[in-house]
Amino acid sequence: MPATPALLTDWLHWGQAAAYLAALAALAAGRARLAGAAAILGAAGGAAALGLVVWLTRRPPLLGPLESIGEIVFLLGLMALGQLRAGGGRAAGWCWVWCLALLGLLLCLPRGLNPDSFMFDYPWLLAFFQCRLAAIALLLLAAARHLAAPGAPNNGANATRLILLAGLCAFLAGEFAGAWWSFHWTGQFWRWNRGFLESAALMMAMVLPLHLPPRWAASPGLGTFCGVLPGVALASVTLIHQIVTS
Amino acid sequence: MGWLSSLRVSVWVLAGLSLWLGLGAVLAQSAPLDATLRGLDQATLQAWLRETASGQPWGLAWLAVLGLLAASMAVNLTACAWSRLWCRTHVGDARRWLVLAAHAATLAVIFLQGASFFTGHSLQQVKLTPGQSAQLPGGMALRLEQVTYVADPALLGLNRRQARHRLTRTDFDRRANLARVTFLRDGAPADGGAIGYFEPLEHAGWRAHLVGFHKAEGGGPGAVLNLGRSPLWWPFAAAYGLLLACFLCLAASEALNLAGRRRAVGCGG
Repeated sequence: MPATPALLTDWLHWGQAAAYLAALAALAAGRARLAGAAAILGAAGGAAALGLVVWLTRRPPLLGPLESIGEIVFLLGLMALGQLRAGGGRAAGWCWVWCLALLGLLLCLPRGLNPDSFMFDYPWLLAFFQCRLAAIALLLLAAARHLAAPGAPNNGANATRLILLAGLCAFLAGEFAGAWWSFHWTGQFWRWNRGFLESAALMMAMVLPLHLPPRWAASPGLGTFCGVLPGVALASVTLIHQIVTS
Repeated sequence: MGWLSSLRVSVWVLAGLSLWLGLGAVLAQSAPLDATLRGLDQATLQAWLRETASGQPWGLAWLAVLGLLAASMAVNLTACAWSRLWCRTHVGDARRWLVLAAHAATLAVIFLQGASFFTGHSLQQVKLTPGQSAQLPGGMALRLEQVTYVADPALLGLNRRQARHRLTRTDFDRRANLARVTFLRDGAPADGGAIGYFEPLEHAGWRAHLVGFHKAEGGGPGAVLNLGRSPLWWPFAAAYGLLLACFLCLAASEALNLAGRRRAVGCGG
């Protein structure tokens, strides 16, 4: 495994943080266009960081704090731009808060590339990790939209519910890929261990906000809590699991 | 009867299951539950209940509550699918049909997952050297014929953490390091072939998976195999695939619905 260059661990990391901080400040000052420009720089920094990971490792980002957080922040940065373009400034702002929180968290964690493995060319493994990271980004976007408009209904046809559903789809696709990977590797598609129990717990937490009775969903406290929970829980559990098992 | 299908019950059951599974994940490395999970991983549920459960009361209690919550979810899901969806869905209401299909597929996944705990057979981490056999139920056996190991012998016998750092794509080609095995029925060869990582051999429902290599007593390489039967894998994978397809169609239908509403608002404005 090549050494992790400072360009990836320092320059691009701090560059993205500075860009998203500037975007947040510009948004708070009511300068949406300036915020958008700063966020484009942040997303470009994220794309460069991901490109560097792919170039160095000859595979997509998979696991480990540096690679996971790098991809989540990049995807969230792109989604925030979409929100800003659609007039959802507050949701975009919350996305940048998540980006800054994740980049800040990365400062406290090992910032090296994940060790290579002979399994990293197995497509079902790649699909599992990629779907999991996409699910985290989508569910954090759903959390951002809930925080931006507490108590807004998330039942019926609306964008927040659609994003929750998309996040759930990405998660389920990842779990399917994970079950396939596990079965063809070990002969078992369910294992009684920490990882599988975590995944099942998270799946229940994701389905929960899609089943809230209308009055509960419209409650600023409960509705928002249930909408924020899947993204925050999935991101936290995935990162904690990767840190503990690395 | 109405309360059985209520969304409030769904929310409480989902929250309960999430918390209980989360508790299991947190306690998975603590002594009582670790032993229970290891036991469950290597035996069918009925065998574990018969042979081990009485000595592990905390694990048994955790599993009993989990079973109760899962059964509650299945009952709530069935009641909801019947009274809220099936009885109220009109022929042309595509979205509700999709929701109904998603609920039916979820029920199938829960049922097949639950049934899989009671079926099949699993022998894990069986270490063999060429010429040795492992006995399987029903007069079956598996014999390791030959090991083709082309990687550095120093990589044999690494522990899990060491292997994570040393078994790289450069140093260990999973397509070149193989084992040749033969399934035997009543002592006579029935089927055979080469197996590699993610490339198991199947015969009469039995599967042989290569999961590693070890240093045999003579110093040469041996193979570490998982042997098992999982008769419900394909039905489970089909139900899970259907569930995923339902959710994807539902998301696409909601996206189209949302786009239509936005267009309508745009035209109205």
